[in-house]
Amino acid sequence: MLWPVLLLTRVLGRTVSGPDGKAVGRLGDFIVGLSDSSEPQLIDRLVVSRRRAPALVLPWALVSDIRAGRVVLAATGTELAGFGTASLTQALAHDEILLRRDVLDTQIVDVAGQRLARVADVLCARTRGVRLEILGVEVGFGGVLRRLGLGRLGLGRIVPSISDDVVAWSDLHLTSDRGHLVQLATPRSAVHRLGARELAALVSRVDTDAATEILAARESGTAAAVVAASHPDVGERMLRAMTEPEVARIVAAMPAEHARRWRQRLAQSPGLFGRHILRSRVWPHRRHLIRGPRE
Amino acid sequence: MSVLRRRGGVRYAALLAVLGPGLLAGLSDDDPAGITTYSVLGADYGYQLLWVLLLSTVALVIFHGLAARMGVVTGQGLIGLVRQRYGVRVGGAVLAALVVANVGTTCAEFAGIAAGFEIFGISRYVSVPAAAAIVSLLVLRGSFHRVERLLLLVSTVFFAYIVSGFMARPNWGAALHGTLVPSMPLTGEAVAIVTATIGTTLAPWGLSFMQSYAVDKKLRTEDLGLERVDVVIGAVLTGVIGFFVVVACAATLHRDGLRITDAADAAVALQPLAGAAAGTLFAVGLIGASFLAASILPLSTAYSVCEYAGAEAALDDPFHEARTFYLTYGIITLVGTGIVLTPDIPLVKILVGTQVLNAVLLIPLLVAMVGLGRDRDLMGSYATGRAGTAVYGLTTAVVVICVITLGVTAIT
Repeated sequence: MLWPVLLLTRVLGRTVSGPDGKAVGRLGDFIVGLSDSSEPQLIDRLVVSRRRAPALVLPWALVSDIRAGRVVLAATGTELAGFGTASLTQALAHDEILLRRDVLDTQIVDVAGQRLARVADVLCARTRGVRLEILGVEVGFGGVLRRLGLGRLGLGRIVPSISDDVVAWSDLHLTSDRGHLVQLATPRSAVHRLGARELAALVSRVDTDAATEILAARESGTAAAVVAASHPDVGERMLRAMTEPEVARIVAAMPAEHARRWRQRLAQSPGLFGRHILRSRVWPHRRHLIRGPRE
Repeated sequence: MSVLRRRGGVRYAALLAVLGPGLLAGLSDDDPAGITTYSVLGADYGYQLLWVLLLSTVALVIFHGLAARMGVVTGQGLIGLVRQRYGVRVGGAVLAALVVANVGTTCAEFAGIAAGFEIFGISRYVSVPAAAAIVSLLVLRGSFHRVERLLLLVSTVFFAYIVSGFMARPNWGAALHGTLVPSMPLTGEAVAIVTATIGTTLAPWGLSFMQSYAVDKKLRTEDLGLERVDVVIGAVLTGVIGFFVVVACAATLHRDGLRITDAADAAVALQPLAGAAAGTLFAVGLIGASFLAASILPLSTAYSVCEYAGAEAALDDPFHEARTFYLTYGIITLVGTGIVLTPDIPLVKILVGTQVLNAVLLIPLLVAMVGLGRDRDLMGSYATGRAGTAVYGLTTAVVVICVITLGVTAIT
């Protein structure tokens, strides 16, 4: 059974207290492991911000209740002392992202709708007792107006383009650097379910590094089909940015005539130092530390 | 030898590929407001305050360089990053102020077009709608490359100021002394013009345009070295053009004790003193500068609105894929044109108010840029270090002092 939808921006900043009602800190962020094989995407851990003290990274098992205005823990402040961390990035496992830092207000690609959008909110629902399931992200301008306290103006009814718009969690590809890398490394992410045509649309929207990372993550046949389905400039941009063995692997998987044309094209030096090759949609490009799996 | 020549050729071609954001963002800062400020600086103080241009050029290099680096590394424009890092409220407040200031500045650009053409006897009711139609068609119909090439072509009109400066036969020794040896009369008017010169060079819309344009141009981190060259060329050219405007006015208007209130006044006043050709070139420069800035202001606003709203925005996108982008461009152009053409509208008050808003908005924007540039989550290994932060902090402090001083002198 799903409870009413809970918006990330409405729970962030809420007081987190122990069973005795004493405040521990404020809800700073949620941590999600993307390689979790369970069907609903559940929130795994929460970050509690504290004044003049390191943030606490707590497992969800310590949450006894989450309700309007307050998150209640099953442990007191002194019992939580061992959960403090100086660096959130260091505290993340290789498959984990932070919802506030890596998703909220960042750009995403809606792989179903084939568009770039910015996340206005993250939609969650209570399930399995006090667990929180992520349903998707809100991308319309309506969410922004609501967060600004202007939601009651009803502008969405007047201008349909600013009404609410939700992208299912399973249909999005994150553009934040960590989100992109973690999703790429996670077999169940949207990017791994796409066919050649959809992938061609995706790589046309990303920067060279991200596009080549996506291409390199696919087996040779699919990568060759993605190059074939892409605009020739986009295909050339990706292939030129890859190492020679990778290019040889992908070109070898193409039909003979297609492979011959690509070998010819890549043998020529790009005109004006590849000015038109610079023409590709850029992707937010950050590099977060990705550690190996936790011991 | 042939290898060296080829290597040089490749480097030149690579620079050509990257050239654009720094050049356009820098040169568009020499808009009618800028030319007016430089003209008044030269007419009222001669060569004495030329050092201010050196200072503002350094500030331009520093902050345009930071904007380009942030755009290339994060792939996002300034307003999008402000929303991502500081939330929708701060982002919304900055965007609202930027849009209002940009509408006002667009009015200034169209007012410059009107004034420039009126020197040649062409009514503003003809020149302004025609200019608005041309800049709109340019962006709506052109691809990114076509738009960039046309704007760079328009930028060549700035050489008119350099020729005009030479024709005024300035005292080069005094000009060099004024550039390298700082001195100023300690009066409220002198402080105001110094502050206005720095304020008009480093504009909020220029900074946001610089970053968004670097993103739209799809520059990569590998291009950052050459992009720095682009920024330096753009900033130095901006300073050089300002230098020649000041020199032209110092050698003629200041020498004869003539005072002016705007750039069109300067063009008219130059004609009997430096020859009809010098005055005409000055007027042509004013029209070209206005046209360039009138193209870039709505573009800068459209980028910012789309970054905040999360809508896709690129000059190469067709209308149906980037409605918000093109509609914003159209609305800003239309409102700017409408205000300039409205009879009896207090245009001077609007322009002064816009300058004040730009100056006030510059402070939080610079502080946000310094903070974003230091953020390792966003910038990774390209984040600003301690030494860089000190330089950005010092430049921001100088701008803040200038804006506060301007506020104090305006009140007292």
